[in-house]
Amino acid sequence: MLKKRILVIDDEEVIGQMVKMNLEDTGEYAVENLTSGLNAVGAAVAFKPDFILLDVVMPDIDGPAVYNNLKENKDTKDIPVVFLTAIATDQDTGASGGIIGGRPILSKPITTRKLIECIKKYSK
Amino acid sequence: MSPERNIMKKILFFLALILFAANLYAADTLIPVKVGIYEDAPLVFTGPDKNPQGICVDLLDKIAQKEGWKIEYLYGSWPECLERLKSGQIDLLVDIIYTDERSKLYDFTKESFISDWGEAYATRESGVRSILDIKDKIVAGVSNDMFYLEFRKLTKAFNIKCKFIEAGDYPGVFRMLEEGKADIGVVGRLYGARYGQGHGIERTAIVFSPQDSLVAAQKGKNQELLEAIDRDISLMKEDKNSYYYRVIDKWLGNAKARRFLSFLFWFSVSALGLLLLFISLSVILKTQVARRTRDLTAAYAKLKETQEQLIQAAKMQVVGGLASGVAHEVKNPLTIIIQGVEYLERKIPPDANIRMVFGNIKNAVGRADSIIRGLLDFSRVSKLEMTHEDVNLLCERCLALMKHQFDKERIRLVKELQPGIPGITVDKNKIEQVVINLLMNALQASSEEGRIILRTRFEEEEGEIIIEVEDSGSGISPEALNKLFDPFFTTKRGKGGTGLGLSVVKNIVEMHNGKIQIRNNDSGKGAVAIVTFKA
Repeated sequence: MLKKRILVIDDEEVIGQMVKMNLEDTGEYAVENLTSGLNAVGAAVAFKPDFILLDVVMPDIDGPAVYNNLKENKDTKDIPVVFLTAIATDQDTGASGGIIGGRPILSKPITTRKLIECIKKYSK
Repeated sequence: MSPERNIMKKILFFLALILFAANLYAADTLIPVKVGIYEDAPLVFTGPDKNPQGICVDLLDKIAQKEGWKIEYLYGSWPECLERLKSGQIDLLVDIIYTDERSKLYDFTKESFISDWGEAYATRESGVRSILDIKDKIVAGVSNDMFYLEFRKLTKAFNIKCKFIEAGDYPGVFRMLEEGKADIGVVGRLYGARYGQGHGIERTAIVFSPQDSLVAAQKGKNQELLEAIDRDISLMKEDKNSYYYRVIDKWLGNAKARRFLSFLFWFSVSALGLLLLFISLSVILKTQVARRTRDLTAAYAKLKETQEQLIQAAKMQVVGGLASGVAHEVKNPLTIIIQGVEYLERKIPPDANIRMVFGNIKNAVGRADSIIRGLLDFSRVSKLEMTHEDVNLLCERCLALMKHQFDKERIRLVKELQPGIPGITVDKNKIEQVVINLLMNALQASSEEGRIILRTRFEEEEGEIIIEVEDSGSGISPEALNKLFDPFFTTKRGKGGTGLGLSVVKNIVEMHNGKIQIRNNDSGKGAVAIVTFKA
């Protein structure tokens, strides 16, 4: 079975590492991490992820701007993107992610179980 | 028409006829007396309606009434009156002064109606003040008037040359002064006192010839009339309360006093008017002040409320800003921790202690996350999802959720839910959050074996639905009472309290236009939280 490719974009490097370790440990996912959204489109074109987990608040470029860049590129526009944010709460998003302002959002801190539920819900 | 009414009408008709006949008879039996009058107010004169008036007229009318006379007044100038008396056209002439010369032609009463004397009035331009100033001046008087004659004698005695012109009566004398035809006018003092002021005419210091005002008849005739007048006037003068003095008072009676009384009357009326105006203004002002005070009090209360809301909004703004920053900075490490623990849980062989440590770490992360969540909830104005709810059912749901906790803490829960409370439109989840939060607070404040009352009631008069949570704990200190709703204020700092619970509760209640109050019980034991919504 092909592993689902997950791209995690979060300036907090350790979060990416942890998510990668936990997801890949399941044997079902291949995870790549980016600590900046500046090269998100290039990385996505190259990696061809099935799902992108995108942090909202980042120093170089914020999550919504990265999202727009991805959606404007023909090769990446169809890749499902879920925001990962510290500002929203589970009450706002629902336990396995929800829609705020038309965009799927997952709130931190995120457990692996919640993350997998979310990936299954939104990935291709 | 009934026969009784017919009889009554006939009786009334005959009575009227008898009265009419009696009057005719009485009129026929009165003695006619013709009296000559002229212009010498206030002794005798005619008013605007040409009716005879004055002291002499009033007194003579009174005497006529008593003596059975029917008086007819004949008006004329002074010389005409003298001539009429002399020729017998009139029976009596009133207001005449005795002289030896006149006594050859007329008989006089002995009793005077009033004493009078002559006075000189002058134009302002003439500069006449005393007898010494009248040289070469033109003096006006009434021909054959006693005072005029006496004044001429006076000038002759002082050897003062002046020119004399004559008028028909006293008004004619004053007209001559006003028209500049004469410098000085001679009149009786009573007339002068009444009409001698104004129109450029002034009273001088020239006073002379005091005389009695008498009534005269043709020589040898009408003696019975003169005697009757003497008798009646004498009688009236003896009694200080008689008609005589009332007449004198009426016309002169103390003209000054009357003027003063008139002044006093109008002054009193004006003062009373002013007083009423003042009282009215006072009442109006008082009402306005009361209304303004009410308005100001209401405005002050509103201002205070707005100020409190602004302070609260400012706090919220600070907390909101803080919440986002803290959330971002704390939730990232929490994510790392939770992800790390999950990884290690799979990698490290199961061991009771290790599981306990991981469990503790997860709980700690959960607690930290709940604080952040509380902060974010507090700072966020959520949209309300309003539905029509039964308050009692809503409270029952909260109690069901809390039951386990109460049992565990061995706290007795008392329900006092008033039946039949009207429904209320609220965000069900938010109000449940309020009730649960208040129950949790009460639980934490209660000691073991304590009791908590959840009460609902409807105040029909105010149209208010009230939810109360009452505990039997130790109550709240006065310092804490003032800060209960401040964000981050907690009395359970070391026991997991974030200090946001009651702030969030207040936020939710106010979003529903409700009010919340927490105070110590009147009994002195425990506290009570009172949430009020408009029905």
